[in-house]
Amino acid sequence: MPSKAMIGRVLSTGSATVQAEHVAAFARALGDANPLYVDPEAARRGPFGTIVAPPTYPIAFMTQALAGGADVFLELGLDFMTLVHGEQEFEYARPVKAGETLTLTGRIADVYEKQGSNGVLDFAVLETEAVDEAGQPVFFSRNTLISRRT
Amino acid sequence: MIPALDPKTVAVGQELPPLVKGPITREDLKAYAAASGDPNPMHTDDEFARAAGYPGVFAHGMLSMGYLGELLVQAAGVGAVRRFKTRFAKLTWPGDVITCRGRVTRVADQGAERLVECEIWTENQAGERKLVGSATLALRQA
Repeated sequence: MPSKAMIGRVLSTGSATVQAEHVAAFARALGDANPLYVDPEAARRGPFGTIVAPPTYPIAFMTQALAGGADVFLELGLDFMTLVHGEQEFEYARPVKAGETLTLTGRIADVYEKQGSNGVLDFAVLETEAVDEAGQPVFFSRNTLISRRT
Repeated sequence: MIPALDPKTVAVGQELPPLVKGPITREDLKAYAAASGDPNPMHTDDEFARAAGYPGVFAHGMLSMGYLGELLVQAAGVGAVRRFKTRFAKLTWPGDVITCRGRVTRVADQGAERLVECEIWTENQAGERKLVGSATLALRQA
């Protein structure tokens, strides 16, 4: 089970460059063919001058940039078989743009437990900050994971 | 694409134009798993999901949150979403037709922007709410 001693620990850091093809594939998987996400020509003429990402794209980018995602769950002591995503929150300074390199820092923001109807539930809150090449914030993610203690 | 919310007329209680997605298929879940890099077999392998006590695979919460993202961008435009939060209250299953909905709860001015708070949710064909959350949209005032 996750331990209170883990709170505040930096879990993972990483940098990656946002690939237009990755953004477009993500948008298509949502059935969202907004030209600013999938069409480089339309995006070039658009308000951002390049492909930009849909609002939930950071979840895919974090998975890509912070390799070893499954290890994080092991490290946290969350049971993969009962693991569910409880809550997700994003804050955005601006859209994520294709071609830029973002640096991510993920940390364990909180760990707690609740008595559920079906046993003890373990909660872990992971926070990830993304900054651009100039060190300016781009997005912030707060991810609450829940697993049932078996 | 013209955003649906007009900064001049936006008002508390106004509904965002709903967005209907689905019916969700197992192929949709496989495609989302691949595109998002989510390795959890709970969404792609029925036997694995049954071994974990579910009747079968269920949709990624983030797939539905992605649908809500499309709702918000249709309402306010790309780049207008400042904050976006959902709680995954109930599971979404293959076959569900998901309607994304939102309603304005607060309007406040900050500099040149009009900040619009919304409650947002997804519901299936039975009207069951699956994701519930809130968002802040920034509309640029002319």
